[in-house]
Amino acid sequence: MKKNLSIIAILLVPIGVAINFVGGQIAGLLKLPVFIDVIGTILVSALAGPWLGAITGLITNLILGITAPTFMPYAIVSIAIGIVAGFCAKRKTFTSFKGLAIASVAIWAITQITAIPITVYVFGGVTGSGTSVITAFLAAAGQSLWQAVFTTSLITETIDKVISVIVVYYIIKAVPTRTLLQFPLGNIYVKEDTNKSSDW
Amino acid sequence: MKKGLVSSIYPTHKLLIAVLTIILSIVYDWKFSYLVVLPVCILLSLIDGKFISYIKKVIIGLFLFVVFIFMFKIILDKTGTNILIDLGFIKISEGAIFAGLNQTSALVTLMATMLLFFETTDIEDFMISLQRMNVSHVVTYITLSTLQLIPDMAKKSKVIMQAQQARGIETEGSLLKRLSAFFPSIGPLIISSITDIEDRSITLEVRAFSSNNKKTTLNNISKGKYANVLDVASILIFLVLFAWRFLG
Repeated sequence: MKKNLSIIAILLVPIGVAINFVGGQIAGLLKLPVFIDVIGTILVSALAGPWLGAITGLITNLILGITAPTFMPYAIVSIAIGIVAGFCAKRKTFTSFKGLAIASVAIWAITQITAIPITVYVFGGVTGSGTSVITAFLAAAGQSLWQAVFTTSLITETIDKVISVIVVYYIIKAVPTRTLLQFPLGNIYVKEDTNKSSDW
Repeated sequence: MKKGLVSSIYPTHKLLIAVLTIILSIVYDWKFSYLVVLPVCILLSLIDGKFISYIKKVIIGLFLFVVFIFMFKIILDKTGTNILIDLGFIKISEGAIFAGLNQTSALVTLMATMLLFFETTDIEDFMISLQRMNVSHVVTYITLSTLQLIPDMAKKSKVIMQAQQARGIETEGSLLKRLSAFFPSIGPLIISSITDIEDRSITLEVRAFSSNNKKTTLNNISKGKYANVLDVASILIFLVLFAWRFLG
């Protein structure tokens, strides 16, 4: 990591963590069947690179852990999402719909790879939310525990990650150019002849 | 205000003890977690005068989880050991109960110790003690400002949602309607937060955030007389117990 990160990039981290929290809250208020708790992590990765994204993920889970320590093992998942999203951003995947598809798949895949072993080994298949009921049903119907956990997270995570990536794409588009340029990866998103009113 | 016994222990020492206990719970079986750690933590919270709020958090955080895991183990049980309770549609066997106990043992310790740690530790004091251990002030600043920012942004998001409702965005109805209300609810919140960053960075710069001098703190916490003794003692006990598990 660079030794002297700009203060602006550092300040992005608390906002990313807060977005993770509030995004889940809004989804809850709207009674959406998804968690949407990684928008902040992906956004920080997209604007400031993989390492700050990973830190955002880590802090999110540590703060969740203050009231519910069962979230702490999942810090690994959040860190992995931050890193993968950051490397995707460096390859300019957040600038086009084709790229978005690639980023969604990459983020989705790393979530499955890291989260499923934790759910199976640490929690015996339980995730503490309503989705455990699906897992229990599948397992009772004859699937192995690994299969059941995979099927469950296939249903819940896919929509979750796709929505998160799309939200990040539109938000970056809406951020004024002069603000974008202050972030480490900001210039990826700036086209030369934009006609934005905020562009000086 | 006088602090309780556990609350007055220096934060990083408490954390060290909690982490060592969690490691032990991974190498020992369920008896360590259920018969030693959990009762001791509850007793400590009682001594500290935090019993009611602590036990509430433990029940909310732990009980549901443990019950869920036990249900899993019972439903998926294939051990075929002798059956303790026969409810007709489901049979609870000894093997399932032990599998449940072993699966939850490390979790119980994690919950019990970490909840007690955060219940008896002021986060600000914890950050000061970290900073004294030469953890960068950037890390402690990020953590504290995040804790401050979350309730702020939650409040702001409610205002934005109400404003959008007033403009006619429907937040109830079919799934598709609610899903499309998500974007106008979260968008303005994030964008306004990002554009605020510039002001905040100027404020920090004015207060010499990037200066390399030693940072001062408003609160002062003392290590107490026996802090080092406690440290050495807890590491020694840990090593003995750890070795005993594999040699004994």
